[in-house]
Amino acid sequence: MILAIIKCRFLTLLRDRVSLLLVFVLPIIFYAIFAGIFGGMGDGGKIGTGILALIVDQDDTPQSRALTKALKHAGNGLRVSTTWTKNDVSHPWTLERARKQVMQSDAEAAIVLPKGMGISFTGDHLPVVQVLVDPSNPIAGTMVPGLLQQAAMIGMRSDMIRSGMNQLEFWSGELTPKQREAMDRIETLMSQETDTDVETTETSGAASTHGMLLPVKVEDAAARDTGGAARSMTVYYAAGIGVMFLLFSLAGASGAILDDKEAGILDRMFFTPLGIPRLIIANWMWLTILAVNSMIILFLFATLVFEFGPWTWPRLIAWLVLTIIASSAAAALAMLLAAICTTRAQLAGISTIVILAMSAVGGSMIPRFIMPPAILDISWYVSFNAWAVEGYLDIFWYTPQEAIFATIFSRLAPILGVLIGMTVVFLIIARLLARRWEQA
Amino acid sequence: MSVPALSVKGARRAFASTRALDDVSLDIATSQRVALLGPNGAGKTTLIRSIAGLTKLDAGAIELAGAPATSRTRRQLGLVPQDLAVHDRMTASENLHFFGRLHMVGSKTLRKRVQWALDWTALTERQDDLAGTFSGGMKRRLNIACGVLHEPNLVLLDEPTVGVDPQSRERIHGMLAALHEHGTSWILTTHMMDEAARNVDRIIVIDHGRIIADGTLDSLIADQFGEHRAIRVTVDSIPASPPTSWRITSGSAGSPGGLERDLTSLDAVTSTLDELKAGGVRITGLEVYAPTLQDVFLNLTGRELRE
Repeated sequence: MILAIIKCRFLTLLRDRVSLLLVFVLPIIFYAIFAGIFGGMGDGGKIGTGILALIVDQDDTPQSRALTKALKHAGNGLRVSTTWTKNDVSHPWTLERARKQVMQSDAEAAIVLPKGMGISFTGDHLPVVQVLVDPSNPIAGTMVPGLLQQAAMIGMRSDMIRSGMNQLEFWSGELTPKQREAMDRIETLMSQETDTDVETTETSGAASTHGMLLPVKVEDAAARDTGGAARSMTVYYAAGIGVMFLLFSLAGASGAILDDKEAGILDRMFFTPLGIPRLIIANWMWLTILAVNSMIILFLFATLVFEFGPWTWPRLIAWLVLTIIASSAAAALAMLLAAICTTRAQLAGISTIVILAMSAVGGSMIPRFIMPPAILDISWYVSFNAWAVEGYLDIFWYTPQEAIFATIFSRLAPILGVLIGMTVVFLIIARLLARRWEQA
Repeated sequence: MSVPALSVKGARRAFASTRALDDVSLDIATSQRVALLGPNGAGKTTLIRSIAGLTKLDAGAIELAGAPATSRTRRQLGLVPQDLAVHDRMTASENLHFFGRLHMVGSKTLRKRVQWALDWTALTERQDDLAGTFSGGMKRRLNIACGVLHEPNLVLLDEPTVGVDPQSRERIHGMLAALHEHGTSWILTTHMMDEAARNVDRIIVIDHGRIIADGTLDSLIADQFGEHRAIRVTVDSIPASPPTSWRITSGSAGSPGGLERDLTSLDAVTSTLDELKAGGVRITGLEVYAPTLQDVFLNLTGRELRE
């Protein structure tokens, strides 16, 4: 009986060219447009949330601590973390842990203060500070090095001056005793004024980088794992556009029930032993199958044309599981929308409003990483897209290429749980609302 | 006495302030062909839908073959809705298979039943064409076939011939006659009085949610008009003073025209004509008029518009 309905829907779709285009071709066209426009976007940062930078202090000298302190007061939306906590015990960030956090988008940047940095200030060569960023973030990669210059000039000015004098002596010859005495007085004076200046900077919030006095090297935190390509926006928009059009095409396809109602076919079905639960389940299963196939075609297109990936077996299986579960949730939402409406025209109107709103908030139109925190918070409660998009990003952005099943699924588990919960809730509400179809 | 195929007892159903069914009771015997007549909004479709389980009754009971109507006992019912409830983007054969499956007809039986239905509806040659390409008559036939694939004992047909040409209507009544020959009862609602008069055993007239007449055509006519008949003749020359029982309906004395008089029974036709002949009138045409089902219907439900 359920198979009969699925077959019926399949045959009907197969003979409806417009619907076929809407389900399978339109998402690809829109994805190609977005991926084409934004595909090259690869360096930047979060705008709305500020920048969380993790300090990996490998040097642990007064100089590195002074720089960290200055960074903490740098303002301009920079938030600094020096430790992570487990069982109420704080641990300093290590390079690997910080890199992982940036890759998982839990932080925007990691600033690595290299061992020997303090000593280097007294020598001939300035230390190279490594900054790890997520290349999909359009601001962090340019903002953090600038803030580092500002912090260095405020927190380590005496070291910077000494370093500058060392450079001068190296290139122009040794200072005279009188010159050296003057420089020592300036250095002492500068070190006494540091705290006052920090307060001033924090209050004014002014940004002043003074050029690259402190050498900084910006690196892609994921480069070692994915070669950098995996975080291209083509990945983001495959998820975003895919999920949005999944909803549009399923909402359209769920209207078949309303067509049946208008044609009297639904009455005829209810006269058979079918019943509402089986009708809902059959249509939901059909929509899920349709959605999974639509996503397969879209991601296949993305892989072939936009070099989406890289694919690994764990990623492929995680993608398949997420696609099936997200599709089932989208199908349940489409069933709910159909159950709310009484006519196809009503469904078209309501579903357009609901889907556009959820897509805008959920990140199908605008990248989630540039959204303000308030919108991000709301999106978890009101948008199916938010969960599905984050799920795909978890697989292709936030877990390294060599990640094993357990790593990927431990990250995906909450998302899968929420999507399954959505499916159940949407189907139950759809079932309750569909009672009015049964009895006129 | 055998158990009726269908028994409706005290059925009531109201929509807001409108009583669609108001204490309706009826029994339908096995193999009986019944026409359910009534003006638009009289309660016909509500009664059909209630029997089919698509509309809940506010009060009353429905029994099928002596058992309370449930989703299980309703499997012996067939339903042909007024709407053309078939999928336009599926072929005739696919539609039949689809509804057969929903009625839980087994695969092997279903194949035979689909073939039977295609032959029965004369759609065998068009079985692989999309229903959307069919004429109104073909769709109606397919619509009926989809409702009887599971071999029901009693078929409910809601205006099965609406909007089709006379040829298709004849074919549909031929199909229903064939069903009846196999012992299937059916109830049809229609506004086509002539086809109801010709093709059913029993006529039920419903209005304002109540059954206002129930019987055979003859008994309904007798109830409403008694033995009343009329004889109408055309003559080559209307006499100057026709017999007193005759009325001039057209023309005038000395010219061709028409005359009419009442008949108390058909036995009186010959003696009535002799009356004219005796006066030297030459009869050129003759019609014995009897009340029709339409007269009965209008007499029962009134002539004023309902909508």
